[in-house]
Amino acid sequence: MKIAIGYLYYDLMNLYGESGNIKVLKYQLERQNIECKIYKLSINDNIDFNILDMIYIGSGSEEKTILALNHLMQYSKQIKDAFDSGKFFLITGNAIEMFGKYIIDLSDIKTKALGILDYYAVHGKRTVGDVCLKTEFSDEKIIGFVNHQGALYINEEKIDRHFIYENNFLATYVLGPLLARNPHLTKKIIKRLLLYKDSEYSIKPFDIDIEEKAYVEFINAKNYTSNI
Amino acid sequence: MKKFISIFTGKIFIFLGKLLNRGSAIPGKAAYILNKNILSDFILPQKIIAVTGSSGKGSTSKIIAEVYKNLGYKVAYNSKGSNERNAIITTLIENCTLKGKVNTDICVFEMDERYAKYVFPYIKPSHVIVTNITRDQPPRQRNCEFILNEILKAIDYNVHLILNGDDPYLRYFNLNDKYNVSYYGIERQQYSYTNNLFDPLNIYLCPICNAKLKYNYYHIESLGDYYCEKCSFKRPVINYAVTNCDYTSNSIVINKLHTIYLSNTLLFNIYNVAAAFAYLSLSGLNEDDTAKCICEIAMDQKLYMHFKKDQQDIHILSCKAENASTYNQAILFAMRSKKEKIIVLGWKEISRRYKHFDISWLYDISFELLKEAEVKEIICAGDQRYDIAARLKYAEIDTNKIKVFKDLQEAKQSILSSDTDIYAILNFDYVEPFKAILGDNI
Repeated sequence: MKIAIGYLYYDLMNLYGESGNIKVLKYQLERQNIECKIYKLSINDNIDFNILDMIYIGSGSEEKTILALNHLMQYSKQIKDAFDSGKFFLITGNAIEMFGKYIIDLSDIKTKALGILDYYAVHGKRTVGDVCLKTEFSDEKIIGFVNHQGALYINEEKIDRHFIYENNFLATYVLGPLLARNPHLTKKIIKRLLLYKDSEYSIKPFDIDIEEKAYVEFINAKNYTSNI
Repeated sequence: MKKFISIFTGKIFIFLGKLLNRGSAIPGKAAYILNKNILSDFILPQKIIAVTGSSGKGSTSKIIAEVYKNLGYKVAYNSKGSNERNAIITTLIENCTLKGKVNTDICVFEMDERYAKYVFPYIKPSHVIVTNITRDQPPRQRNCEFILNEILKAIDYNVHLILNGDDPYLRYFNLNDKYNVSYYGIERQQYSYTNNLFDPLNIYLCPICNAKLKYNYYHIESLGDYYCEKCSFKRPVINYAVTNCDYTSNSIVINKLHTIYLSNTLLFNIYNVAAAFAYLSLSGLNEDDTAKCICEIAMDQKLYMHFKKDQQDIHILSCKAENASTYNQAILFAMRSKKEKIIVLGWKEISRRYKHFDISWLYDISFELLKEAEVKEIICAGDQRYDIAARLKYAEIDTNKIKVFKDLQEAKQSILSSDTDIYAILNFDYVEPFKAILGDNI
């Protein structure tokens, strides 16, 4: 089996060690004996969503996010089709804002976004800090760091701390190496991806001991409770 | 009257501060509370140089201040490490009369990049050096664009900018060509590379047309001889070029004429010296005298230390957590040696300012390069040791080589028993504990 991952806007949406997620996916897929090809694509490229099994986008500055979004908008129909057909998306940091209906920046300028999901983003006071999120997607909480100007809303309800998952679309404001810090999430995503490609695929044990120790140390240091 | 009282109060606080050995910002703060316009009230010398940027501003400003002092000039300089508005006010009060006349030939300021906008419009520096804008303390500094805009708010077109010409990101300062700019840089040298060893991190694309930037060679990350294939954007003419780096004698040559001996040849140290030389020359000093004087001043030992124990070389490289570029520079330095080595990584706290546990910056460091650097073992120490170890694992470094320890004390035996060279690539808060562990062994 081969897995093709599109690391979209690797040059613009890469503010906080986001390439770490690609390293984790490649490392863990290769240990499952999967050939993993990474396509680094950006505003000077054509994006063929049909050849990609998974799409990843990370954090960007406010200006770079709009630059990337303006390029991505031409593919909104393909992205909607990919979303509906269950293609995998992993979206971290403020890239989550690109998939809502629109973004209103600090100057009140409204930029139309992809409209894949019903939320919208409004920029205001910056949110910075460690987080520990509960999600129905996995049994264990998701840890990490956030640093974003926007807040997400659906019908005026704030949903910043939601780990969004629908079909195989996964998105969170948590930035940077989300997968390295949440080994249980990595396991779950990779299992799901492999079984989606081949429901008979026999999953091998994961090599995640070190990350599990880091996860537990963080939970204990911050006095969070974990289900791990 | 307000001016007199605020300066007088500041001087009393400076006097008390000296008695109590307290911080350098408090007198300035007291004076500022009494007089919000105090920065406009000083009568300043003509020569005012401010150095700002993510890293290197302390070292660069120190070289400038020391050279001027050694040449017999009177210098006002915020040498005590504080670099925000109140520290600048303190320095000016220290050097002024009660009427506010600053009695020095020159003012040299190390300036925090976010506070520049509260200072520059009032003191109007004649020259500003921006050393770099790199990823640095994201919880506080957000991102490079934010810092770029903060510095742009601080300067007007009368300022003569001195910029690293090897850094395409700094070209954002003068895309409209309205500033008088001088550039310093390093020509192709022994450790320049062409295959993009390090990710460019803060700029990949042409600031004019957004095409991917190309390079004739790199020094590190996005620094090097860049050009755009789609438009005319390219590395500018370098006014102060390091034309030769000799890593055996620890010397560099500027503009093929001036040899300067350095305490270390870390890449950013070379840039800092080139930046300082550029200003010293532009400010009217004789270039021969300047080069001689830089050789004579005691160079900063804070960022790099070297010890020799029998045949073993021990290098301590002080880095800044949350600043991947300082670690990348240390890795580039370690890669120069083909001898077997152990690496020590770690920190006590990621930040002294806040209690966040953000480790994302570890993934901006090119640890992958250590696979090819004759590394026998990597010691990870501190509370986030497993996060460091996980990062190394994902750099595809053999996990048998990765050792984790709760702190440096626990790692002591492994460090002391090593007979290979040691590269201690540490956050600055682990430098003294590391030296303590070496103890009498050095």
